[in-house]
Amino acid sequence: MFEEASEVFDNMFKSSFPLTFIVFIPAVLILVSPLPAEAAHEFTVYRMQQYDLQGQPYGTRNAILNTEARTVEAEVLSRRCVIMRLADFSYDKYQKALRQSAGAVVIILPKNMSAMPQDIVQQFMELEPEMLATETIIPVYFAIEDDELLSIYTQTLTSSSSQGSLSAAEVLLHTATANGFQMVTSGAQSKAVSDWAITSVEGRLAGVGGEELPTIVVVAHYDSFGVAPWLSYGADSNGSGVSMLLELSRLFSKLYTYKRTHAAYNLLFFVSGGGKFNYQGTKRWLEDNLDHTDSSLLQDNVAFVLCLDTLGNGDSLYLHVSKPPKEGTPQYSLLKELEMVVGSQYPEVKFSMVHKKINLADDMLAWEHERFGIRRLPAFTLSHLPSHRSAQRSSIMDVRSVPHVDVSKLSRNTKVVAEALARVIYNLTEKVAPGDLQIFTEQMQVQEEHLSAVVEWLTAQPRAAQLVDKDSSFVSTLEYHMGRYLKDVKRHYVKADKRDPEFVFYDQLKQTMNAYRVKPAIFDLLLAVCIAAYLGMMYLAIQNFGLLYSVVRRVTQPKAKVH
Amino acid sequence: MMLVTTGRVILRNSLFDSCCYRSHLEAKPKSLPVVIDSTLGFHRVLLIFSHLKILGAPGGVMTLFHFGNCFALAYFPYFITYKCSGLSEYNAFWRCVQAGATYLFVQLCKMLFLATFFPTWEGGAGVIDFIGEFMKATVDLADLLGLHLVMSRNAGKGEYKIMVAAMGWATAELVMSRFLPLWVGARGIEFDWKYIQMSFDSNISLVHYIAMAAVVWMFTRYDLPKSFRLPVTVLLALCVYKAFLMELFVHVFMLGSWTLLLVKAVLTGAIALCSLFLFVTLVHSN
Repeated sequence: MFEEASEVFDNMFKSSFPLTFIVFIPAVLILVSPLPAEAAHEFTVYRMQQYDLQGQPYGTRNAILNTEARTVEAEVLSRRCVIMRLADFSYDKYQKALRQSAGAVVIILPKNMSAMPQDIVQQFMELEPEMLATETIIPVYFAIEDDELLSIYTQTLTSSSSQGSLSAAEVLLHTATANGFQMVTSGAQSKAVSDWAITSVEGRLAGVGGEELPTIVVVAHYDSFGVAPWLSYGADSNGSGVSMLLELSRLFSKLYTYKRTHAAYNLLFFVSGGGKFNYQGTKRWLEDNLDHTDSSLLQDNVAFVLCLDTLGNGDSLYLHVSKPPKEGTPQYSLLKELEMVVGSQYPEVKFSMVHKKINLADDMLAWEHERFGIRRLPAFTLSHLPSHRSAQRSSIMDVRSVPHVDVSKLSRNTKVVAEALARVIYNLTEKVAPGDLQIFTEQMQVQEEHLSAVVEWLTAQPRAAQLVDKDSSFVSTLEYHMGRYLKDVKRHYVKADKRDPEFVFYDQLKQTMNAYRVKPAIFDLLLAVCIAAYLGMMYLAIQNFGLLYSVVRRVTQPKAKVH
Repeated sequence: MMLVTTGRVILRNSLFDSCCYRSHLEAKPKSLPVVIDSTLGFHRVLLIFSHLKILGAPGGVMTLFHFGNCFALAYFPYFITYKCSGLSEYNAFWRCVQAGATYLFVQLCKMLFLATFFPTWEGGAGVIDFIGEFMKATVDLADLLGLHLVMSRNAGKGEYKIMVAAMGWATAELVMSRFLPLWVGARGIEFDWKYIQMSFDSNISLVHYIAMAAVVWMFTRYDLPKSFRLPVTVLLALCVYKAFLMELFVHVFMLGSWTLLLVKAVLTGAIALCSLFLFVTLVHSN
């Protein structure tokens, strides 16, 4: 048969061109055909943080995943992709997966985070810093739950938990009916992003009345942080601080447009980037202003620096200081004015000062004011959080919904800060003005809708430091927004040093993951046996076709005779 | 018996080694139990294969193996039929290739015709345009013409003509419409039963084309008795509109893919048996 075939092909190629075409085109197509991209399910996954800070690696170090899915209930987890749901997530299970050298961990987050019970959310928030505290070799991904993913999870759960005490027949049946899932990410290995620039924006309102006016600096960092950069919306931390800063700039720009209310204080507003990475933006800004230029508002006569951090909730306000202010300084008067405003206008708010010394031995600075404190500028941070260690400052659970940012409270806090600042700027001491004197009322009042819109805009996209580059629409919108109220709005960039980088970010933070339905190898072997048996039967049937033929003939013969 | 047992012990031993290696078990038992429990042994083999993860890697050996499975299931019946029907002894290979070329030509004509005269159905999804489908199935009449063309160009006995035409036709269809999906699909990481079903379907279509060729051959005979006209015509119509009927079944009874395959097999078997009866009666009546 094969000699015949080769002869036929020879003739064919010599004689007719179209036939050659017909044979060759499919052959070429077959040879170049890539493997199909279609999968049982395709979904977006968000990778856990990966960064180096001061040479210390944090987060997951790997992005490539190509392994079979299991749930944590399975006996063997080594080199498997362990999938967990947030509802069942615990640090023990996570550690169990890591200990058993799992291939990867995928954590499925619910679509509607606010519907989750608060204790689970709280527990996860506490765990986030712990997951990031050390480096993890395997990739860790987060996915948002949908019906398909849930069904994959359930199928994996049943097949993972039913292993073990089964008879051989049950195992066989199981391999034929159950589905395994091969999880595959499409992206490449993560690598360090070179020349990443963190952007910060400053703007000012100049005072009148002579040279060498004192300067008040208002600072808020805009970047968010969470276990996965693409899921960090940072509504309260620090969307609330930025929105308060913008509202303050709006209010004071109004005051500064009238001659009668133009005060003898310079106001400097600074929205810093890289705040969650040891305040890199602020650090560089200070270096630029203090070391590299001759004239700067920061060099002479800074009254105080007020940092706004996480102010969108709660009924308490804490003024974090690294050195208690001395009587007679502007800082002290702001402290007194804040106490006065809170005490006389908002008695439901608890206001107190928290004193914490700067610990230079720590890897991370606690609050943003410490950056200024190191450079001997009088500074403090205002926050509703009693401690910098609070999990809310670095969680993906910090999203725009009522438990995290309450706009009415944010606007109340804004009012408190604005009143206190105004009392300091216009020197409205208790003797001159009573405590319940309200400056920002009627046309000058804090606009809640405005604050709400800004918070809405800030939380519309994740603002992790790795995602906001200098061309991003976020920075240009922020610049535009500040430009409406402030003068001399300009950007500052910070790039890590090439030789000894203070911070290194990595890419591949968002990927597409495919879940392919797969069967174990044993299944194919079983299938091969079945097919062989079937083909054997076919062979016998065709061989003995004569039998059928003769039976049919015998049946039909009497009829044939009748005809 | 002794030999067998020893062999199994050795086999088990080596398999067990590989099992240890694969699953990173730390301790290896010093001595193997002498009594071999068959279930246990089988279990172990299963375990080992479930540990051979390297083979299951995408684009790896196991997916190629799966493709091989599907390929064997789809192609071997053709090969067996070719060998056992005695076509190979008639030097019929070249004639089969010609039949295949005719198949290509006819399909091309059909496609052109469909593309020219049948607009694409623009109704909602899930709604079937019955008349349109019926008209499209009618175009399959061209297959009958093609088969007749192939058979009329071959001289020889009836069985020979039928087999050559059907084999060439079915094989061409197999190569053209099934090989590519199998190659692309069954080699992927994703497992889907549809490739196995497709392979079974190709077996069914072999039977289908043989029956169809036989019916066409009977229909075109000048000496076909009057009493045969009706059943042959009915069978012809059944052959042509089978695909349409299947679609109708799917739509009306909401058949699953496996049930559909079964129904198809039964229907094709019935048509084939009827045409065999007619054929035998016809051949041996004169």
